Amino acid sequence: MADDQVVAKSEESQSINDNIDKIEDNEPPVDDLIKDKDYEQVDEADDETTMEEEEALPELEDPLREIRFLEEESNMPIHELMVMYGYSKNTTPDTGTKKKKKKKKKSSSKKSKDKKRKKKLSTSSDGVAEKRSKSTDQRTFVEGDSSNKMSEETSKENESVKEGEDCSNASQLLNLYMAELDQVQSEDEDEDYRPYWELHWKSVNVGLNFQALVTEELSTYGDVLPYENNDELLWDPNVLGEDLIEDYLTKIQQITKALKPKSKVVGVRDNEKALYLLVQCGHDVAEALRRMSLNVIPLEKSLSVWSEDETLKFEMGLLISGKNFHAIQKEVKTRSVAELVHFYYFWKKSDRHDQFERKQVSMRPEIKQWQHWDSEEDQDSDFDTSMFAENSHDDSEDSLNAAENKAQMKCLIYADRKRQVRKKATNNACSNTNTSTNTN
Amino acid sequence: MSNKRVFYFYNPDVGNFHYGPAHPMKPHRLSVIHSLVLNYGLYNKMKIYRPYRASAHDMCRFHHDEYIEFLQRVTPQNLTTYSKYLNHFNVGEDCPVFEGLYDFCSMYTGASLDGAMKLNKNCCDIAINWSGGLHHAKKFEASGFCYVNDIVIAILELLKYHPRVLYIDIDVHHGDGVQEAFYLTDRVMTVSFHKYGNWFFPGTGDMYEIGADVGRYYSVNVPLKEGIDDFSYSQVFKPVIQHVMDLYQPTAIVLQCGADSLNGDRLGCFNLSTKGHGECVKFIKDLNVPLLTVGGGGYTLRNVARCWTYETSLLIDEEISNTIPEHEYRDYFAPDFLLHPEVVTRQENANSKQYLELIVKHTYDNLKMVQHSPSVQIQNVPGDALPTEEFNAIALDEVDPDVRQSQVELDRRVDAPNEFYQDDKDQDSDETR
Repeated sequence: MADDQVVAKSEESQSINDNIDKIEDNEPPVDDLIKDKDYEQVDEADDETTMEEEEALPELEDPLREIRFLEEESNMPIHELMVMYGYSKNTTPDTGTKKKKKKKKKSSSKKSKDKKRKKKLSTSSDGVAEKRSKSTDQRTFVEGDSSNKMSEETSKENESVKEGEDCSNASQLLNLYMAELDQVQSEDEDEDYRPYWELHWKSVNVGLNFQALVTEELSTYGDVLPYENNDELLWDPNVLGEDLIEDYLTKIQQITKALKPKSKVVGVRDNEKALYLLVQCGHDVAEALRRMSLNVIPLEKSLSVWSEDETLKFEMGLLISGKNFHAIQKEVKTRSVAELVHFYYFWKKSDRHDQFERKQVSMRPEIKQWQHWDSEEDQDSDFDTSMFAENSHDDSEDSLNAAENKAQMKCLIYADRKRQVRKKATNNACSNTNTSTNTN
Repeated sequence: MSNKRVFYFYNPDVGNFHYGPAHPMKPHRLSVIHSLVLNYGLYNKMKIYRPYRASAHDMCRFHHDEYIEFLQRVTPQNLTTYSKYLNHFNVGEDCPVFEGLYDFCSMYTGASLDGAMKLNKNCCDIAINWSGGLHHAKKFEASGFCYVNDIVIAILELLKYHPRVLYIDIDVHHGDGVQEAFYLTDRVMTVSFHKYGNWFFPGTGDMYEIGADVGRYYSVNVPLKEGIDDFSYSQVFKPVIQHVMDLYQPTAIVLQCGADSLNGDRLGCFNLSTKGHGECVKFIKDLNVPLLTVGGGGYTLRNVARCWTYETSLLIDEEISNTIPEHEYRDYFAPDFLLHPEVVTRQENANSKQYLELIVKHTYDNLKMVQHSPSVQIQNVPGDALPTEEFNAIALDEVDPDVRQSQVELDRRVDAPNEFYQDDKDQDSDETR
């Protein structure tokens, strides 16, 4: 129905104005309508003082600067904006008079100016109005009139008393919701003002390039199965009784023992390959046992024993390329990458691994640090959270930190504590030895 | 039969992939889980399937063919020739190109799809695929260790038979890929419980993301703060889900059991124990709706293995001992060798009681709108299933035997192979013998 609209929307860059929409729509619904009024009525009067202020500041004459300030304002967190426009958490829309709001607005805008110190806000009327009109124009049908709709419905349903209650509830939630975000902000208040919500809010993409095509009606498979390859039943416990299966497994065990006296056998366990064999034989125990005794299927196919030569090559590869199994495979030509990965997880818990560790450290002492973390990967009970915290907050280079945080949101891997600790460690030690660790 | 029919899908090769050096996602955890499941003797309560492998065609049901073609062709060797696409499809650090990438996608996606099909055919009540659950993947790009969104593809399959599908996500990360895919439809409701704020990946999952268009109010997001424990979690999870069930009444559920919401996860920051996590799974199971259970995140190998093994046992109603049995990966569970290790609280619970209450109320308020919105589902009369059968019945009775029928017509009423003939085609009827 709205395909054109959808495409057009998706092509729109995620400009600041989009974000403004979001913020405004996110506000508690009841406030919205009144807020509209507020804009028209209050801004005019309030404006003059700010204009005077503006005129007093020579640098504001520069239009580029002004735009920047406007942008800054648009980057303000929602609650600050709300405060600025006359909404504190206790305001119920019914009681607030025009004058009251005007006052509040003034004081709050001053407050925020103080907060931002030299970076003054411009609250010029045309700026706000412009922004307002822009934002209404650019309202997309996704977020579009969501709040209006909601407020309509709520006002229908609720009586005015209840309305106030709901509103305070909502703002209470908002406050709690923001509590954590506030913390972050207060930390770098003195530094360059960072519009944290720009990082926090990410709008949901809507359009042909994002949604799945959902048909409206149901359908049936018919005779043709909807897939090309087949699945395979490996085991069905419901055909034979439990004792029969147990009996079968015991017999299988005896056979395998006879075939391979060396292999250590541990109790009667479910043997998936033996069970699969049973399924293949149509749950005929006798036939399955016969085939097993002929040893038609090698039971330990996946872990055919690694030769000393292969293992050495594997370790060599690991030493040179780290856990880049694709590169190791070039070293150990007789095994596939899948086999290497499989082998690695057993090797890792073997004595050979410990020897390997020692050898490696003696050969390349500088990589000791990260290799340690790497090998401890799955035993991370001992990582130090304080180090993590330190890393993310006390970093003096704030801009760098900001960039990293931004990246963290785009990138799941950035949350990896070990990665951060390791990065720090390598940064401290030597800079150019870790090329193989952190990059592919 | 009181017990549910449980199908378990596992491809023995799916564990033998590696994302690359220092990457937290480890497909090998799947091998460890399978080994545990086997050695706990859970085999004797469920049917085991080696799932079929998804074709490119299957993946293109959701994803764009350009993207899938890229996944099919790219290898670590020819990476440089595709360099301009890497950025475009967001393949790189988070989602590296590794050996066998496409095979890996095809295996886990096939398993989820197979599970959905088995549910559709009413072969089973619960399908389990721990290899699936890669909920971040988008139509056009990879994201957060996920390349192909098996959940979306499985849900699309379920939608062939089910008018309403509910998706529940208990991964610590927001299920953004699935939400985005079904943001505009009311046939799928997505409910995600996740950590939100402080630049936590993927940055979406705000409580105001509620869906759009027809799908307005059909996306439910429950943003939580770090350190949430079992008690607080169930205090949010159970009422919200119960409310969703009452209002939406789904005919099938897909549950993403991301295990990174467990205590001590390498990337997560929640404080759930395996028991608390399992409690959610058990709660969903007891709703008695056809259920597809998939895995998801989980970056501390041994805890993921514990969690999903335990949850397998819950799904088949089998109690298992707290001691990890002897098996090839036993060393990974040192030093305690327990299924339910002690929870070491590293992060304080930042969710106040008040916050949780309010967030539940907020979701309630949005769900109210679901009730009020006109139900589109009622119009969803099963498409071809009934009409064709009716047509067959009429055709068989009323066809004039003297008039020649076209091959198309004859084909249209081909009987099922197991049909017992009672006409002149019947070769071994009682009369002729």
